[in-house]
Amino acid sequence: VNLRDALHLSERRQGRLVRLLQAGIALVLGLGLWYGNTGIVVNAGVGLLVTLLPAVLRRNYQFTMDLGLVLWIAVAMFLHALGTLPLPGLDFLTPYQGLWWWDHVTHALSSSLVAGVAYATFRAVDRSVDGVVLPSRFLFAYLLVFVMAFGVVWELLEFYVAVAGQLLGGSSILTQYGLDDTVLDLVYDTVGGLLVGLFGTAHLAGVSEQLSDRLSARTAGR
Amino acid sequence: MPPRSLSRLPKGPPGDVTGGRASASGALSENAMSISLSERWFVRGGTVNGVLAWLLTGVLVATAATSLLAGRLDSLIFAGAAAAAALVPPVVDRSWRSTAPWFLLFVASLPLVFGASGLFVGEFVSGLAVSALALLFVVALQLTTSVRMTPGFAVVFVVLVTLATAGFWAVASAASAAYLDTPFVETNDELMRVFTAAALAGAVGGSLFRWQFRRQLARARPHERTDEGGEVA
Repeated sequence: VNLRDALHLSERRQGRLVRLLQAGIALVLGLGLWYGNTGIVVNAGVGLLVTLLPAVLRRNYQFTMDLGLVLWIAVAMFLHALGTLPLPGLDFLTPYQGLWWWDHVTHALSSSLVAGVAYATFRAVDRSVDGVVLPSRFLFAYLLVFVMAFGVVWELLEFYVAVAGQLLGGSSILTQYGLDDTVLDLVYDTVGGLLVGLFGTAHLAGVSEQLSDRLSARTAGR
Repeated sequence: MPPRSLSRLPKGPPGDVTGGRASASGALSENAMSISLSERWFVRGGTVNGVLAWLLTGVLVATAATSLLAGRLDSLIFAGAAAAAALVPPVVDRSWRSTAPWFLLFVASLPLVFGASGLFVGEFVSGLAVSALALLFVVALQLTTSVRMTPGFAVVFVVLVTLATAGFWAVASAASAAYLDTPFVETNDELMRVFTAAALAGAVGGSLFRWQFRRQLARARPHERTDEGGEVA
């Protein structure tokens, strides 16, 4: 089932929605600069760059992504950026601090994106890298391994960025909220991976085809 | 996977030692790591290796059995999985001599000796053992299923499995600590230390296997030259 059909969104409206989310992230970025808060600036800045990535890929590499996928990325990045902003409705706590489920939603969203990348590379590598054969039965295990590995790397990144931040005396950019939270993050990472394994494959078929064509072209071109 | 390791060689029939046709140049270049990992790789046929490998397999089976009796789930799973992976080559080949390299089994059984020390070194050794186990599994997968990997892909996969195992271990141990009152790390910093050890071990294990693959390739190359590599040069 296509996400676009399910939500009855036209292409143009989806494009507008992506712009809107990008504007939202830019707004968060502006507020971060206004507050002089490095954490907000870095998170929103990186998020904005990631949402611009599909357009860059299209312009420079003729690599077009399904617009639904672009929207998916934008939603994940917007929620992450918004999560670092202190909000009046939450007594000026950030959603990450004030809402226990925020972290898990963003983790599941971003891990579903990671699983998407995992799926696309799985298909592309299977189809166009000589000597590698990856039967579909292997896909589910591969997705789980990939997503969990990325989750662990992400937790390590959060940890060491925080350590570096403390050493440099700045405000924290990425924050960990303790052992239970880290473990729950990993659980939600797994959930994101499972969701993609079960439902997400329709959207990613186009991406993996282009990727595999690219790999084949590289192989043939040498 | 870095694009440079992507193969330029045509797909070879399964079972072919190089998995594809070796280039006529014979030089061990970047694309050497992309040659298909034959299912024969990491299966040895020597008597000494066979004896050592069976001794270690015996240790693994015994550890799995005592873990079962003692109710230690984590070492049961680990020793059981390692023993199962170790038994695949001799069963498939119907020959007691064809086994995994004993050193791989040795590394995989190290944490059963040092694992519970609670030191960073112990955690690193555990991570290294997981990467060895992952490689044993890749070999077992290649022998029993249609999965085929290039050495480059296998190395990346082993590193991913090592990292992911740390994550799954954390989730399972936390659940077990909550419901079965088993021990688990107490702070986030400790967990991050475990993850760091796993990441380091994955990197070290991956590099070791990569080096080992290259060595095997260099050894196999002179015998595998064919006259069909002109298209590459």
